[in-house]
Amino acid sequence: MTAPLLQARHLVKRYGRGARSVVAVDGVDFTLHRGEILGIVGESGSGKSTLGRILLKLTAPTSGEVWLDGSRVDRLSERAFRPYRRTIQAVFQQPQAAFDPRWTVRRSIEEFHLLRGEPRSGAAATIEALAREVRLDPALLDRLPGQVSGGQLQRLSIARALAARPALLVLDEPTSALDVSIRAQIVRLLLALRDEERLTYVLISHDMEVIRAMATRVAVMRHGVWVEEGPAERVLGAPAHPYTKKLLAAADAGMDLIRPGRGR
Amino acid sequence: MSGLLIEDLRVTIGTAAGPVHALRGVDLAIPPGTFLGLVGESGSGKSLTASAVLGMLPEAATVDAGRVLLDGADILKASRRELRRIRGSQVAAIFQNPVATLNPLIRVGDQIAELIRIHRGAPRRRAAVEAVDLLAAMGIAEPRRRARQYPHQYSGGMAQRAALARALACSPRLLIADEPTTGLDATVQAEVLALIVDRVRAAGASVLLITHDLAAAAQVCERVAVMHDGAVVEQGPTAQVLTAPRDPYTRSLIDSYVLAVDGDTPVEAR
Repeated sequence: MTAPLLQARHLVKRYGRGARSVVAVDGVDFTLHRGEILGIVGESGSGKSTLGRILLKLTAPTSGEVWLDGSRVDRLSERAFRPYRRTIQAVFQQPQAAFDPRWTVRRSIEEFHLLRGEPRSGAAATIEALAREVRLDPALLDRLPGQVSGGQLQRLSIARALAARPALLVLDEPTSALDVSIRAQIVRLLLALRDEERLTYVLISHDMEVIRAMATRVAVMRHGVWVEEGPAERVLGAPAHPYTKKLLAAADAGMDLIRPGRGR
Repeated sequence: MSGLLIEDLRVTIGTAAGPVHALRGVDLAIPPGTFLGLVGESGSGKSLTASAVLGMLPEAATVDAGRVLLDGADILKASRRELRRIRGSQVAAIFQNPVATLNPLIRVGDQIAELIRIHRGAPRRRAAVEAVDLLAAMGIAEPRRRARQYPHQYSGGMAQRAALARALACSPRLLIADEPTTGLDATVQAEVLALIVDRVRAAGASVLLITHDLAAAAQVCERVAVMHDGAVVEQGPTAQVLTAPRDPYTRSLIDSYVLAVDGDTPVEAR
């Protein structure tokens, strides 16, 4: 039995001290195996994005442990963590943030590629292969971020994350800024890439439809607490916690008319 | 004819790259007391259509053809003075970002009272009392204290309730709700939608609900119109449009909206 890819052990993130402190993440435990897609659902202020940032080592937890591929990483210095930056990559809601507006997207991805210690020779071919992997015409690589559409830029930010050949992607609201037709394309792409690249995802989203389509396991977060967690079919099909039921009811309202119209 | 009737509305927008035909012949009808959901993706022309109804087309826009009849009068022909009277008393609007819609420098209660004074000529004190009553009617707890607060002291959902109070203050016949729940949490979205339905029905007004959220339109609208590329490609009773779409674009919009069926059939990888 191989070690789990990712483990969170009683993670807590507290901002401020004493009576006025705010607990953003309040004792989260989970184990994620290769190939799983863990969907983390919650409303704003639930702590789901803070949890994502802790996993990415962008924010330090107040207490608790993060284990990546069998090693504890939360206490590592930035230098010591560097090898793990290859293993864990992120895609965020606003792809613009992942690119320097003055550089061609090729240069941004290349910079990333080189930072990973890859040789410069062959970089161009690798980057063009990455563009094809995310179903984009490599000709788009020579544009500035402002010259491609939001959906194209999100594909490019996925290509950029893949440039490091990661095992795990933290996807924080990857489709929330996109139109529904583009959302469907990105969801299909992410599902296909998971199989092709043998990836594991932590998918943070408030969009129940995206969670439903992608997650193999679902966790529901509220006020920093993991109120319910389990196989996606069970949590979405037979939710146990009243809050999960409320979220699902809100997401399902109106869908009874829309689902039957599909594919006619 | 009463209600809203848009006939063959054609609008061009001048851009640095030349004119863009943003609305290419929009036809829409909202009978009095009914809800119409105008759905479509970004850039389809939904919000521009709303701007035309509010008499607030951008400077760069030119109306090439068409009429926008609100209770029989063409808004496109109204003078600035007439428009000021129409907005607020006949047609009012709420938008996606309620905190930005409200004036940040004026107490929430004063903003509502001001409208009541201007449009209905109510004395200052009575307008203030009515403003508090309106906030209470929108489900805002402690309305007297809340009326004295500024918009930034409100949460998103509460600010949308206040914006709705202001929009309905002068009993408009038509409420334009442009993405009113976008950006709110799912449970708050449900509450705000229910509130809009409840308050507007009580007032007997009609609603133009502009949204990219098909589910929201399905929930509250009797009729749905689908916009694509500056034109309405399909409109009709909600159940008919959503369960038996005729237009290929409507069908593709519904297909991409539903990513999974019953949670156990993920979209196939392509």
